Amino acid sequence: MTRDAPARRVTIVDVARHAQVSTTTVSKVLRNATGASPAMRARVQHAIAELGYRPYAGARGMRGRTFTIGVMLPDIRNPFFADVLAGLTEHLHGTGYQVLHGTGRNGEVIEARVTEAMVDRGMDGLVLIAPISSGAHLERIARAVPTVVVGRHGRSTVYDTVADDDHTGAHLVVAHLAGLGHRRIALIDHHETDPVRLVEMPNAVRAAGYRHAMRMHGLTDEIDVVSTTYTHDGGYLGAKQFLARPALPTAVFTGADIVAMGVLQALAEAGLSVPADISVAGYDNTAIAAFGPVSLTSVDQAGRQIGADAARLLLARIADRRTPASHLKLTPTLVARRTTAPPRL
Amino acid sequence: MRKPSARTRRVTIVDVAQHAEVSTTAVSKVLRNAYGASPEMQAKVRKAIAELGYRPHAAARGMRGQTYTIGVMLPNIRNPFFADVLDGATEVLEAAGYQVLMGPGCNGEAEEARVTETMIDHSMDGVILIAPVSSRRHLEHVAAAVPTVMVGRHGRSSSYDSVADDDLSGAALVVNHLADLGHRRIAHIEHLETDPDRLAEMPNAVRADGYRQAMRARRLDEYIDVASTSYTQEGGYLGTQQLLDRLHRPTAIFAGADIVAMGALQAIAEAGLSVPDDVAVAGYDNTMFAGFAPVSLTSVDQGGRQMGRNAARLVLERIADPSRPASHMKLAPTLVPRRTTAVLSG
Repeated sequence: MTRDAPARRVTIVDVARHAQVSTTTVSKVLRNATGASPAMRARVQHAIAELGYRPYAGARGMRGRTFTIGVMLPDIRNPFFADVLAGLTEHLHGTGYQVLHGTGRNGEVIEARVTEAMVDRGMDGLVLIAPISSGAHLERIARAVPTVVVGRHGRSTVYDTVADDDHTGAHLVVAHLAGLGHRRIALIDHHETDPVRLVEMPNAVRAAGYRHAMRMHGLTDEIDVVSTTYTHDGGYLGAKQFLARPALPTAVFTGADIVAMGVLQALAEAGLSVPADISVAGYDNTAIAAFGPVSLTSVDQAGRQIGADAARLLLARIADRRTPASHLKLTPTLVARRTTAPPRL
Repeated sequence: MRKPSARTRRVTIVDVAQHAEVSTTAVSKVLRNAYGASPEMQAKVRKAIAELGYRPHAAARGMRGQTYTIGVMLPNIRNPFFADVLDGATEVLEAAGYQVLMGPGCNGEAEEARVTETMIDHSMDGVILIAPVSSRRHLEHVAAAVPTVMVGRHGRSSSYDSVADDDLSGAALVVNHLADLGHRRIAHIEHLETDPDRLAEMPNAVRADGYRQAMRARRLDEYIDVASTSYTQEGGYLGTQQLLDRLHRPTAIFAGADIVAMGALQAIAEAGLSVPDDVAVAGYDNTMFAGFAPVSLTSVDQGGRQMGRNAARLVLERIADPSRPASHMKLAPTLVPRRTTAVLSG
């Protein structure tokens, strides 16, 4: 072993030697083929990770695979997407797959550009996080390349989905706030008008869950929704609308932690304190929610787990494109922190 | 009139030319960054490209084999500073008809090698590497394969361009601000670095150097105190715990990045101390966290968006002319004082 080796590309021969197996075995593990025992598989994956091996995209012998997975996320400012991406990457560690990601920015034209670029670049599979594109477009992509959709609820037969049970999540928040004695519980929503997205997008399902839960708690008259966007600015502008009213709600449920940050910003600027003047709850339980000076009550939808599940489903679909579509729904939990308390009488 | 089905048809160069009311040759010139397209023409074509959402087909081999994709490698997506850089780069690259694809470098040489090899394998037209930790040799290897621009890390290479912050001045801005407020026990949290090349080139190492130089310039040599962890929230948390355990606790902490300052604020709160009364805290990067009212962190603005725009321009210029001499750009940072720093009490 010479110390000069790093400049040379690691090959399948190095992996086989390091794992003390044959190159055929390495190839089997890479192709997810049958005939490699779990122990053998673990040894090969360990060697791949240790050597930083990546199959060469031009190696046509590998059935034209590029060992690249494209991940489209709406934006990289929302820390929830970082959690999903971390789960995905961790699961792919040692498989030889490399992730490349692009931002769809909640726009159909931009999403089309990103996904086309990924298909053009010959990626082996795609993970689309909360895409807003039409169902027809998603199915078209899925027919071209194995695809898993994350966050968005689906019934497709050509792509898999991993989503949070957003309806239950919204119920958890309303029940928590109502249990503290709140009645005037408002929601800041991501504006949605498309009939299909109203059924499938996580934001829309959360809004429907909020309305349903309010009715269940006998608070039908108190239903109060301000529609902006799931961004820091969206939260800021939503809170400004509440602040312009003669009376504030006593609690605000924001559909995402990043929205709650914008709300906290607007409330702080208005000289109001949380939770003494108003309670605030988010969704996603991101690092910012757990951050001491923020300490935001939130709903944990286990972003890492969602990412790992998406990676698992995608690898299965790459191995066998005729795998029947799976639709996974994970149950969220409430994490109560300092931004929610009983209302001031 | 446009039929509904027309929306799903791929936009072509002909559509762009029609929309911009120019010839397809003119569109092609703008796309290739070739000479002979006036600034007005370029603006008209770029506007049409943006409005129609046109993206040159990667397989259009007539276009000198270009794929119209640019790879951006960033250490991670949790540090909001990188989002600022990315916004600036995307703005310029999309206007020129390029698609950005990102890869996580994870501050590891093996991971970075995989990401850059993937980008080269996928025939990307250019790559932008944000704060890479790879050896100079590897960076030269990448630059030999594809037009390359480095962001954040200071470079002297003749084969790739770089856009960096004047980190030495930035560190001095923070030390002088704190010293002017009466602080003497000013500690620093740095990202541990041992490699000699990286000690000279990485922004974290230059900031740590700038801290030491500025402390000496203010005759505070005896108070120089550095906790070496990492540029992450956890790094800030652990570094601050070390500093708070000292016999003589610092009265001010200069964290090398806002994300580090976040961890510092968390550790200070957990120790039952208050900011800025017990300990003042300053960060670096002026990210959205720093401006967030419940945090209101004093920080240094290194103009992330501007850095991204400059990097994108340089990579487009290098794609157009790969043999052009390397440019190394350094931007001057500014201090943004907020509520986490105040006059030393007592």
